[in-house]
Amino acid sequence: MCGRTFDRQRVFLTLLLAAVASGRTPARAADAPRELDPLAPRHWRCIWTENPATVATLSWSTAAAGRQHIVKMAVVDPAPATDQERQRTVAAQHNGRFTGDDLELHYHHARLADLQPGTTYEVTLESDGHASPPLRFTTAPADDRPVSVIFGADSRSGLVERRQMNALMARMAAEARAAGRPPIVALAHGGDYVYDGNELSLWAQWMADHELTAGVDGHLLPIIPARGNHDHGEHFNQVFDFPAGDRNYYAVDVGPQLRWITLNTETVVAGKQTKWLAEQLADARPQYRWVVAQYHRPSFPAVKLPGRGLVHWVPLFEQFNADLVCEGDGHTIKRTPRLRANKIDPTGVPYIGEGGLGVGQRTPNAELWYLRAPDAKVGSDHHLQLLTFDREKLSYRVVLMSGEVFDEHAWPVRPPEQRAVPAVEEETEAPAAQAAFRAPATAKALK
Amino acid sequence: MARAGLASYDRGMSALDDPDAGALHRFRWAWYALLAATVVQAVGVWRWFVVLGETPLLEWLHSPPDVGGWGIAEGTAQAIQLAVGWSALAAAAWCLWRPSWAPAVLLAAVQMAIAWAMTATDEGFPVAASWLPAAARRAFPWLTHAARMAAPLAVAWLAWGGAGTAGAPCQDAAMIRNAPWGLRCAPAPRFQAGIEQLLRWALAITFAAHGVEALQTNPVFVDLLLDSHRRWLDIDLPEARATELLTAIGVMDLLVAALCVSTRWRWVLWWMAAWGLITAWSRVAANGWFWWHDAVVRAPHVGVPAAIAWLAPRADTLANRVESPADT
Ligand SMILES: [Fe+2]
Repeated sequence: MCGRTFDRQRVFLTLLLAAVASGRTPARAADAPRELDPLAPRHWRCIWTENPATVATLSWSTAAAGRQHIVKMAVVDPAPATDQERQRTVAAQHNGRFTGDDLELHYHHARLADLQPGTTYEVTLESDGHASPPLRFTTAPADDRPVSVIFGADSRSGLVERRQMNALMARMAAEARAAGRPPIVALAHGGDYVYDGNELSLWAQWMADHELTAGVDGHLLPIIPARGNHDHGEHFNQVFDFPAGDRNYYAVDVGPQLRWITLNTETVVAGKQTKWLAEQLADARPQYRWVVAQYHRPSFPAVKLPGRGLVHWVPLFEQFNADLVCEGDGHTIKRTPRLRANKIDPTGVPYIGEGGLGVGQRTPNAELWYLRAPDAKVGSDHHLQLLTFDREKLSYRVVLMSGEVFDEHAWPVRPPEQRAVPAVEEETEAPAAQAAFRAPATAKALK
Repeated sequence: MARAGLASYDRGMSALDDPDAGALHRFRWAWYALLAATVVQAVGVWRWFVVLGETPLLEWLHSPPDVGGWGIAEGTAQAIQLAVGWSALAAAAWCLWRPSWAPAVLLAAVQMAIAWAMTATDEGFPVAASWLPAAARRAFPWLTHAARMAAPLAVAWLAWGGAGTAGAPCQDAAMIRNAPWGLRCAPAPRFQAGIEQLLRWALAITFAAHGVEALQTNPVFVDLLLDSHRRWLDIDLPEARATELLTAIGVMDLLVAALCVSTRWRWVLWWMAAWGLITAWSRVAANGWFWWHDAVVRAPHVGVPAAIAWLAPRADTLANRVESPADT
């Protein structure tokens, strides 16, 4: 145990030293003394909640309200053809003070529209003339090139580990860019960013730590956020630029062949959200090669009790042959086999995730019928899941904080008949919780 | 008079023959309601802690101190959780066999530990009250769980007094000496009144807290409404209707909570008992039998109002209490 802690510290120190030695200060406002400049932009992040090929939200915070908050942006890759493309200034549309008295902090969200797909922009964020360091972000591609997405969840405790995981993401994204591998285009976060969503100071720390995902080159890793059970309250909407009172379920295209559906287990599940999901899946399934869903409380938990998605969403995932479902909350590593009607089925839906972006890890229940080796793989370590989508397969890799790969798997693309919308909308029988969770009969059937 | 009362009681005649015997008879029903609520609740705790093994207590014990936990190793935390679950079942059995303050206090402590754990791990309903510090909002489970704590506490208090060792003075030890489960005496009206007040306030707080959750549209409640309508009535209730219904429920909860502590209207208590039963049962009705522990841990939501309804003095005994110099 001591050895392991020591190793983690060593990895962290190495990352820090590498950052310093590279001659460029990590772009991280949190390190600067706050009181020096209340209008210095901090907490920069790029958010994807709407068509990320052409739209992105750039967000930052200041300690004072300020008057003018703008983004100065220029295309850098591919090289711009005209001067007009070269420079553009956009005013932040949504500015305000985070609610709560414990801390004075102001948010600024610039929703950039009409962007070019698959294009890298250099940006600076400015509040009353106080500028951030130069940052970059890349829009989602419009062509059918392979892309990678990091899925991770649960960063509400273990802050040292959280920072190390963020630094790991930055390093992986930079390495993928440098090596010409499928670009890591986004971080899909399955929720539980902070311990208590009503505490602004915890969000401030999370936003400061999130800067580490940008790495030394300042290349922002866009985030696709899902709400976790600890992220209650209005701060979540203020941090990720959702309208006040928003339900936080939405879908985005991460490239033309990947539909990424974000659900919210912390609001009403059985009503409008499930109807919306059914429409989304029916619409997306025939159009996209890959249909992926993410949410916080697991339907096929490795540790805890199943969430309400089990009864309401799992039948829809099965009916419309979702390719992958990403879950958080359990604080463990999980990959189930493809499941259908409470059985392992090669045409079914695999469930991954459970959250390892900082939180202390639990021991998964490897005896559950959907978690038994060799069909499933479970573990306990700080981790993220790297998902790569290409024309033939969806590759899955669990990367631990040390950089070591814990699990690797691939699911082939579904045959055309599984990507068609079922002719008759026949709902799969909703699996009762006990059947999915601990059914001796089902367990026997697996042997 | 006491002898006569006992004689008529022993002969199985109606307790209505003697107003005091009637009050004692009702007191016994109150006692049984509290005992039953405490025992049934404990069985739910056992299933939750031992069979399912995922509780806020485990989360609290295992979470690191930076997020309010004890940082205890997972295996040890699970062992403690198991011990608590089995202790709850043993305490329930003890209460049934020979009611005593000790197991009842333990069961009350288990409920407090659950509320405490939910507070520490931020597991309760995220009440929207920006005028309160976040730490105070996390303590909301102490309100929603008030009746669950009060039922075993009242059993402990009654058993302590009833056993005649200390605490409440006996009104007439002979009167219910032969009652099942060994209550050897009925506490004096003043003592009963104390218990009644404890239960009334705990119940009112519980209903008011749930009313606030309903008015703030707790999504779990909306899902309970939608799913129980779907499963039992085959009605696809629109979410907007469910939300409206919940608002009405919230107003009703607040109203009965207020009436519970401001009036002695008995129908309010029976209404609360019926509503407590419906809402506890809705966990199973909406989600299936797998979640039966979720229903039975709420047994005090039925038992506590029923107990108050039986405990609350009738007009005649109320007059006695005011006038009797023996009670002052
Ligand atoms: Fe969670």
